[in-house]
Amino acid sequence: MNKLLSAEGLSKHFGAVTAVSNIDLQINSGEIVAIMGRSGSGKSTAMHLLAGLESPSDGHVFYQGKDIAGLNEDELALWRRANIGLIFQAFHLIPTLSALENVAFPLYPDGVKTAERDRAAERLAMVGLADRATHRPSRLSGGEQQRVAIARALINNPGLILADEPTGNLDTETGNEILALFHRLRDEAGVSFLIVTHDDEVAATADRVIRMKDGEIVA
Amino acid sequence: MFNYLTADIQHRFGRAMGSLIGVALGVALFIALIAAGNGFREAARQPLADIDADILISRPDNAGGAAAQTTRGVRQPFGLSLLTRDEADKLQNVDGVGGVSGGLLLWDFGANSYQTVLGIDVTDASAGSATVGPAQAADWIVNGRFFTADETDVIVVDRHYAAFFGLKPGEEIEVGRRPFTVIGIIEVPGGKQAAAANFYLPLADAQALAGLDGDQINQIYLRVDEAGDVETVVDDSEQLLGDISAMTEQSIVQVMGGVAQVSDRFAAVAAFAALLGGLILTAITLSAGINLRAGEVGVMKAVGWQARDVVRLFTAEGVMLSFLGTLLGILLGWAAIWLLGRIPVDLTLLAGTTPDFGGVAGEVETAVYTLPAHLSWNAVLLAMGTAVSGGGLASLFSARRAARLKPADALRQ
Repeated sequence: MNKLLSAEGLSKHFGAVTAVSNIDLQINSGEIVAIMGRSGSGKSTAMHLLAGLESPSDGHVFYQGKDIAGLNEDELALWRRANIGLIFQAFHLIPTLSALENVAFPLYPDGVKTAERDRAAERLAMVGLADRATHRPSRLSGGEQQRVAIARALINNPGLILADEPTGNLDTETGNEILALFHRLRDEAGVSFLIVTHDDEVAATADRVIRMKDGEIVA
Repeated sequence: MFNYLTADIQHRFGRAMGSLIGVALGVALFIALIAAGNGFREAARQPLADIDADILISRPDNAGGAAAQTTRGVRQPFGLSLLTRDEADKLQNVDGVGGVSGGLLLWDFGANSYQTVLGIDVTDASAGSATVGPAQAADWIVNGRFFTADETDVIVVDRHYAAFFGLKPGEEIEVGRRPFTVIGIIEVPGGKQAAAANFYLPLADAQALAGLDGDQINQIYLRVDEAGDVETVVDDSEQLLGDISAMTEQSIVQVMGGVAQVSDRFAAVAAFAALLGGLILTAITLSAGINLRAGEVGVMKAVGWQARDVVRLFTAEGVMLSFLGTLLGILLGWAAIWLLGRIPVDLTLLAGTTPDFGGVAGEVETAVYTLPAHLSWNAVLLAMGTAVSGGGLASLFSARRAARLKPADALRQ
């Protein structure tokens, strides 16, 4: 397996509070990895550091061998757009846009023409929501909204999707459907996943589980 | 990105309206106040501008009294005393004076009616519109003709008066028990001005009707070369002629009353204050709208938008909302101007043009003179430029602040 993303000595301090302390980890291509821990264990902060949403206090993050910790905000944004997809517990869809427009949202700065709209429609079809393209988020169920978020994360063919509690706001059945979708995307599209969760059942579906406690990797 | 802007305005209509209503009200007030200021100035200018004069000089009759109201026949208007042509000639030499003419305004009281009569010096009438004062009436003929310098016993009648009494060119009427032949009908432009009267006749005939000699007049019309010299010419005229009354654009504004004076002095300042107030209101609502969408900014940055993309989006949104607000403001301002244009303006205060009591002439249909308030395209362009650039700038500052948010912090909001 190829090393896709790795962290070395990664730490994050918020004043006197240490959220993440000197962690090392690695995610390989085609792998589904879960970071597990209780609330406050530092797992979400670790994901934000790996995604470049938060700048580390110490350490390095490498994506395909390139250190991204030294990139500025705009360079990180472009890196995210080109290489990773993000999924959040609260979906974070734009409420005024349709499902199709939400999927195409990362492409807006460069303009969305017919080809991009077709690509967004294709991603929406991949998550089984082709018939919901014109619906706004308020008219979609929680599971459907998360599927739209997944389609949005897939819009630029990322090698890795980082998902923060992706089933946290969903019932068990819908949550299982989302996890099954992750596996299908991994198998069919070769996408790697890093799933942050506090749920043992979710973690059990991953290829590998990294456990965190008090900001440190414990297993 | 335009898709996102229109969707946001469409689906957050209340907030969009909240943002653009400030600029709309500011623009509407700006346009309306500018129109009101211009309208009152134009209304004040019109009585003299239509006769190509800047100053109308008369001499108040401080010795006049109520006893004169019992007089019948042709007489001078109450409150006016006589001037002479020699005095008019003196004013010709005052610095800044470009033209002078004289006239004689009279009232003709019958048993049950009165008419206003204006004797016009047509010595220079052949010069046409180059002439200062009521000889300009030659240009207002709508039927028949105007009289020439060597004519006597002829009369020109105001259109409304002629319509009321069924007078036509060729007919004879009596003024002061003396017959005159009607040779023309005129329509006074704008309804009211300093030379408005029911009858217009040669100056010599008017002097004869009032029993005055050929040197006596009671109106002197002055044209000033530079508009800024009007007050200086008035001062110089007072020094030369002593106790006189001078009607100017400024004095008409003062007599028109409080609204006109306030509008004349403060309309531009108030207009800019209103526009600025509207812009501040819009800037606050735009900024608040951007702050409320910090979570969306977090999503934008998380999915790969650069800071400049965020700034471009919100600035474009501010410009678009300001533009829409400006369009709404122009509509509201236009409606306000339409209402302003229905306001009647009382110009009967022009000294001596009408006796201040009832009579048949008072029943004659007259044109209702309303405030000449018009949409000024300069004001519209100025308001649009200021509002759109102001809204854009306000959004730019808020957008730059929003774009500096760390994506993780923004997502937590």
